[in-house]
Amino acid sequence: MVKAFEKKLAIGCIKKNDFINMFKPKITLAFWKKNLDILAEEFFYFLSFLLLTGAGLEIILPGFFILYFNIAILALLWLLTLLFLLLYVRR
Amino acid sequence: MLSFHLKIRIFWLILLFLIIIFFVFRFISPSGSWRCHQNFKENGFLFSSLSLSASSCISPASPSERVVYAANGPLLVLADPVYFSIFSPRPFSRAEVEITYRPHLSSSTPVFEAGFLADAKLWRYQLKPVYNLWLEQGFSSWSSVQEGSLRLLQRNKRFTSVSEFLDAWRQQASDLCVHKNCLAVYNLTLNDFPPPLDFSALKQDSGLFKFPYALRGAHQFYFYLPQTGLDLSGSFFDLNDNKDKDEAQFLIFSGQRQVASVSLIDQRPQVEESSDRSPVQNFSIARSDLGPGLYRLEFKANNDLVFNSLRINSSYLSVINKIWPFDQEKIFLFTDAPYLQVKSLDPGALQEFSFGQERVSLSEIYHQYEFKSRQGGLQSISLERGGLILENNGVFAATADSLLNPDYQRLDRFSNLSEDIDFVLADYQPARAEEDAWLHSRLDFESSTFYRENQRYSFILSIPGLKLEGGAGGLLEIKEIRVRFYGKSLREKISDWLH
Repeated sequence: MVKAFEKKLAIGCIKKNDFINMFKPKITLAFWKKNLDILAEEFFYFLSFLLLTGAGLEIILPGFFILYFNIAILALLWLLTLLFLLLYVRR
Repeated sequence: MLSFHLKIRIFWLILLFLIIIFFVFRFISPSGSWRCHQNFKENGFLFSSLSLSASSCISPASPSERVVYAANGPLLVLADPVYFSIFSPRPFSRAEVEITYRPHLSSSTPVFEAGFLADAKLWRYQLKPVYNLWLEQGFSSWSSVQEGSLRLLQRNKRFTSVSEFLDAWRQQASDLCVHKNCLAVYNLTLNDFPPPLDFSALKQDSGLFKFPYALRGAHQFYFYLPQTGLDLSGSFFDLNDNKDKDEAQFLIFSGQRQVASVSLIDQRPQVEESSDRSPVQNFSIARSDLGPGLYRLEFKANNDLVFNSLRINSSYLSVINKIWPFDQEKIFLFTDAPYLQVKSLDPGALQEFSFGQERVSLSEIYHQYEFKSRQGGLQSISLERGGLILENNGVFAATADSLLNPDYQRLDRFSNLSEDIDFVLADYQPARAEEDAWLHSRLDFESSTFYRENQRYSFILSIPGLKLEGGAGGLLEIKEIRVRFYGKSLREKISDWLH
């Protein structure tokens, strides 16, 4: 398969830019627009589970989770994603 | 083919799993070490106080009025003491503390020490010297010899090593001194060495001596047995002011060796915090196997317990460093230190009293007063009533004849650096000088017995005598505190379990 591809490249059927584009991720603005609600929803879930993990850890080992994460910033991000979900995500 | 939705979910689930694994790893600390670091000189501290970064494992200093966080500058310590709490995910057996600081201290505040809370019941910190002004600058013309952590300072150079001096001191201490008590020590107890006290000159009475006052809370005593056998008795009662159970312990030490102990469990029916006094309970310790000699009695209890009628078959009984008489009658005491620190927790105990030849008075509760006597030698203390906490670096006794202090002179903030001192022996590592006059000191602690609550050790910086009022005694700049805890590694723990 690789040989066939090299042959095509050699005879000029495939240009160099096409080759590079093959490996570029297909994430475009349209893609983002289409999947924004999914991303926001999943980010909200991730933050929720992270905060739950943090709360659990703080109960078992007070002060451990906050050594590595700023709770205020996490909570703010969580609220923003929640707000975004409520305002923009359509079901 | 997985959908985008599913890919994202798997991605964050793996991320969350990795975060949990990271916390498990940090909790176990497989290498057996845990590091904490706080640089007060970096912007980081103000940055973190604005809550933009995660918190440090060394808490902010408290009480906050005793420190100043200078913008882009070091932490300024203005009064003594200052507390921190240090997070560690699990207990460790050894702690190594490094402090970078710049001392601006005076002769009234010559000692800077740091340490951890070792006994929460008695609120006792294990302190180690960080900086001692006397040892760093006070004996600049003296000959100095360092051997390991021991440092010997000599007025006239006679010994070339610390071990040579110790051998000579052990064999012929009195011959080395022109004056009595010519050796001052710091951060050291010379238990195996001849005490600066001639026991053969002590009275050899064998009758019972009764300490005439009731004492509140933990106390330590020196007593001297003229002949074999100890007979100690007394009584105590519970004030039930605090919420905790009030268990007590009597410990008897010969040097560093514990020779007897008695534990008294709190099974009294009175409810804690009810202020309902318990009936008086008696206790006694009789040991026929204790030989003649010097002993230390430690009464470990919280402030709810008051013990009285202490009787002992020794003519010498002295309370070490701190005494809290409870009686509401006149109290007469003697002390061998020329100063007194006094505090009252009860407005009813505020009073005017005499110390040495001075009349002094207390007008505020919770305020620590310091009084110095103009006369040398033994000082008398005459209180109108009890309730005051009296402290100094000497001993207290009910009569001048029963006073016994077998300790060497200590090189602390009340040292007068008299002409009598010819030798100074200290367990002290000189501070290492860094650029811009910063000093760096390293302290090692055995931390296995340190008190730890909510995964945090309590850490203290102490500069005795440093006060907020009028900036008495100077200040201390702290640039950096670095703490490393060491314990068993995961591999060592597993091999311990297997064997």
